[in-house]
This record gives sequence, C-alpha cells and structure tokens, in this order.
Amino acid sequence: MSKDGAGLEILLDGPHSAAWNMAVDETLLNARGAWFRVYRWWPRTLSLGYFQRAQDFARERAQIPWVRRPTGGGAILHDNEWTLSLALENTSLGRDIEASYGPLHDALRSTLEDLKVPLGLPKPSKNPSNHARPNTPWCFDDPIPMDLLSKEGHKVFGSAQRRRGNRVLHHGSLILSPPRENPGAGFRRSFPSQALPALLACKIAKHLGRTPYFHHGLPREYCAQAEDLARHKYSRPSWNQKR
Amino acid sequence: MAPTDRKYLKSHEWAKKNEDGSISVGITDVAVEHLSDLVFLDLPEVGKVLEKDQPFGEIESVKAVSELLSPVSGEVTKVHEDLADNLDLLSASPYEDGWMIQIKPSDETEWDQLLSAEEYEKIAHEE
Repeated sequence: MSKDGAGLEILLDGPHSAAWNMAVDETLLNARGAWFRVYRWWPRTLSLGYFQRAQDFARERAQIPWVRRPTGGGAILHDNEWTLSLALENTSLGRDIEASYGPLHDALRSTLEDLKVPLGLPKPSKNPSNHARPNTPWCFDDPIPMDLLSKEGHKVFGSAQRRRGNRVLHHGSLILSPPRENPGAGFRRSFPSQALPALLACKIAKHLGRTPYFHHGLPREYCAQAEDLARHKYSRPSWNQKR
Repeated sequence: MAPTDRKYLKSHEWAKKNEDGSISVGITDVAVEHLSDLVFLDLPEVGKVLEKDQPFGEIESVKAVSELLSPVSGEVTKVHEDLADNLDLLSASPYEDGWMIQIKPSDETEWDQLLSAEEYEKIAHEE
C-alpha cells in the first residue's frame, strides 16, 4: 500500500458471489485511502439499487441470484459485464454530486477511445426534473446525460454512489453485451476487453493525480470485515428484502 | 447564509433547540444544492435511539445515496412523515418546512460540540 496516502490501491478481482462483491466494496468504503476495484459476478446476478423494491423484480429473483447494493440507481443484470468500484474521500471527486461522477466516466471514455471502441454522443441535458423518479426500474433503460452510450445509442456504462461521512463509494457498470432480461443495454459489437481493467486503472489513477499500486487480492487486514459483511448483511433477507 | 438560531455538523446537518427541550434536525441549503435532484428519502421511526454522528436516515439524488448524520444522541420523538413524498419542501425551505426529525437529547453536553453558523459557513465554503 502507498505509505503517503497519495496512491490508488488497485484490485483487479476475479468473479465472485453477489454477497462477497458487495461486502468487499463496503469494506473499501470504510477503509482508509483511495481504492479502485474491477470485478465480475459468478453466477450471473441481479443487483437492485438501494431504494428499489424487491417485489418489483419477483420474476427475475425467482430465476437468478440477487442482492441489494448499498449504492443508489436502478437494477442491473451483471452478466457479460465489468463492475468498477472506486472508494475514496469525497473531496477527491468534488463537492457537487453530479460533477463527482466525472473522473471515472472521463477515464473510461478515454480508455475506450484508446481501445478504438466508438462511443455515441451523450444524452442531451433536459430541464431539472423536479424530483421526478425514474420511469423504469432498470438502470440501463434510463440514460442520463453523464452516462456513456454506444455508437448505436445504447447505454453501455452507468454509475451510482453511496456517501458515508467524508467518503464515497462509486459503482460503475460496463455492459459488454445485452443480457436477455434487459436487451436495451450494452454494446452491440464485441471488442477485446481483457486489457481494459488494467488500462482503466492506470487511467483513473492519472485522472486523480495518484500513483497506482496493484494488489493481489484483498489485503488480509480487510478480510475479516468483508467476511462479516458478506455473511451477516449481504446474504440476509433483513438487508436484501428491506424494501 | 446559515441561520444563527441553530447549530451545525460539517456534514451539512442542522440542529435547532425547541421550547420543549427537543431538537429539530434537517439539512442545510448547501447540502440541498450539492445533492441537486432529490428522489428518495428514508427517515427513522419514532422511538429509535440515535447516536451522535451516526446515520439517522438516507437520501438519494442523482443515483447517489447519502447518509444523514445525527447532530446529537437521543430518542426520535417526531418524524416529518410527509417529507419523503414532498421533497420539494427540502429545496424550497430546508431550514423550516423541510425539517426531518425531532430528538429528545440524552447528553446535553453534545450541543456545545456542534458548529456555530459562522463556523459552518466557513467550512462549507472551503470545500
């Protein structure tokens, strides 16, 4: 780990269960320093935004594992997908919430451009929605101006956050191909994505002005907390079915 | 300007003493500005016991869930039940109509640990 606190601690993680993925991310939210993690899910999993109602997804929940995220936003099918999580002090991302999505989105856009993946223009801004709730429960059916769209206009990357004290957990989801339950999401043309996590990690470190430090797995000092959260929070109906 | 008849946390919650000894709690206009487009709010139930600087509720805006911290320890005696369905109140009147909960404080000394309006303004504008 960086000793001066100016590093970006990077975990290029393997596919894990829903409970473990969310437990590790909350552990990093509670940790010190700045962390960037890229991971996948096994088996394919449905994740709900923190404020969403479980009963609205009865059909999907009967078919695949699911979990409630600590972050906001809509439901996501994690299938052929990369999930990104960035946990750090919120002053690193700026005071305004909408603007705080910028560093990760800009870094991903730049990385995809380096990989010669064409992107579409962002969805135009509209007038303030006067506290309107989303029209659809699916994250990828409801693009907002900061989301990344494919050249064909489909949403391919969206984000959500959890803010706790002076820290923020930023979740991002990059859908590589459309899941059958949510066919409007993701790229229509495949691209070689294996190099993306490491390239993106270096790019986000540069955007944040931090030095990247790559880790082989979650450091031992954090494992007990992650195991506790996985077992006693993210595997329990008291969390997942709280709404 | 932050009203001078109450105290603050640097995380943008305000606390105001009422005549009956209870303390009203809400979030500042700076918080509302940062959060921008509010969509969901979750507040505790009456009777819940809170600890100072620990979450008493959550609010979602622009897909970000922010935890709301309690300025003092004590028991929740009143909740603004209609606020979750009228989030415009928070934007229009964060210091009066947008109050969130009332607390019966359990430790009077915690009041002196809170920021004055002047101290809060200074911190809020340095961010």
